[in-house]
Amino acid sequence: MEKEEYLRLLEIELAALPLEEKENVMEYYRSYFEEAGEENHNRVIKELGKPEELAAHILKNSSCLPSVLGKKNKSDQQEKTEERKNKTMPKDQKNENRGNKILLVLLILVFSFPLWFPLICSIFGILFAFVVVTLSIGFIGIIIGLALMIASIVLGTFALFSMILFTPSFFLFLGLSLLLMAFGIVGLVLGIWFCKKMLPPLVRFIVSLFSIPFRNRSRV
Amino acid sequence: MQFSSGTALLDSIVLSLLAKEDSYGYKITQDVQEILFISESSLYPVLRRLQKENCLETYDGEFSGRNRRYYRITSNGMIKLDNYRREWIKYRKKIETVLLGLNTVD
Repeated sequence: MEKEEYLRLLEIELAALPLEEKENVMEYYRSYFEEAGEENHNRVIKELGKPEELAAHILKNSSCLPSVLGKKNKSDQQEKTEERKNKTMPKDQKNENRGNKILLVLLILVFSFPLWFPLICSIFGILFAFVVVTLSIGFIGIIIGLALMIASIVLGTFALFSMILFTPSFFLFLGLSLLLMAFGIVGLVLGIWFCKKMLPPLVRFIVSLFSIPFRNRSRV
Repeated sequence: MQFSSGTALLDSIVLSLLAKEDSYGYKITQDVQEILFISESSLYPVLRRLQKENCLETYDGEFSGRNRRYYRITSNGMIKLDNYRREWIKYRKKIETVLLGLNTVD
């Protein structure tokens, strides 16, 4: 077998490796041949073994892959049984690990209480402030609107009285009253619109914030 | 050599060769083969693993028109080598006590 043919077969056998890793291996063995010199190529090929054997050896020792991929050799039969033994072992360890992990998390939670409690409190405070500010902006609109409308009605009745007296001020009062009414309606509508626009996203945001821990748990 | 060459022995020999001077894959293999019986194929995974453990680093050098990838020991590798040396002294004493019937007293 020629050197080029050998390297080509090796590269095919290493298809399971990540590209960068494979390049590394190929670079290594290509320069290995070059360093050995043309006259030693046959000896090197003999020493390295069949391309598939070499590839199996590399794959077996590669941390990038689960070791199962490297199992092609007959001599790996032993390792398989060993691995089966190992496979049953980690299960118990895993359970133990999980128990330890939960205990650790609880301990951390207890001891970091002075840290996270004020943090949660302040988050609540900020959220509450947001809701209050939003609501009050809306309410300001609504209240100003209502106040203007009341003022407009008062002015309107005043205008009616001045109509009885038939003074020119009747027109002034009527005009002012209508103007106030218009502003009042605008304020009311804007206030309601603001509340309607801002509240649902705010509520949704808060709900999603609270559901984050539960979402994590369901994923685990 | 009849004695089996385990991972630790192979690692420590590669590290101590590289502690003397930087070297490249082919030469390291030849040097190790003078001491231990290993197949030529078994050294790449060792070098790669040591590199991933930050015991070795590589750099490319030119040699007669082609690229040659040199391996250099890192400070981490020196620490590991030092540990291996200590382990080896203990191990050697134990083996010699049994194998040669020596009673080495410090």
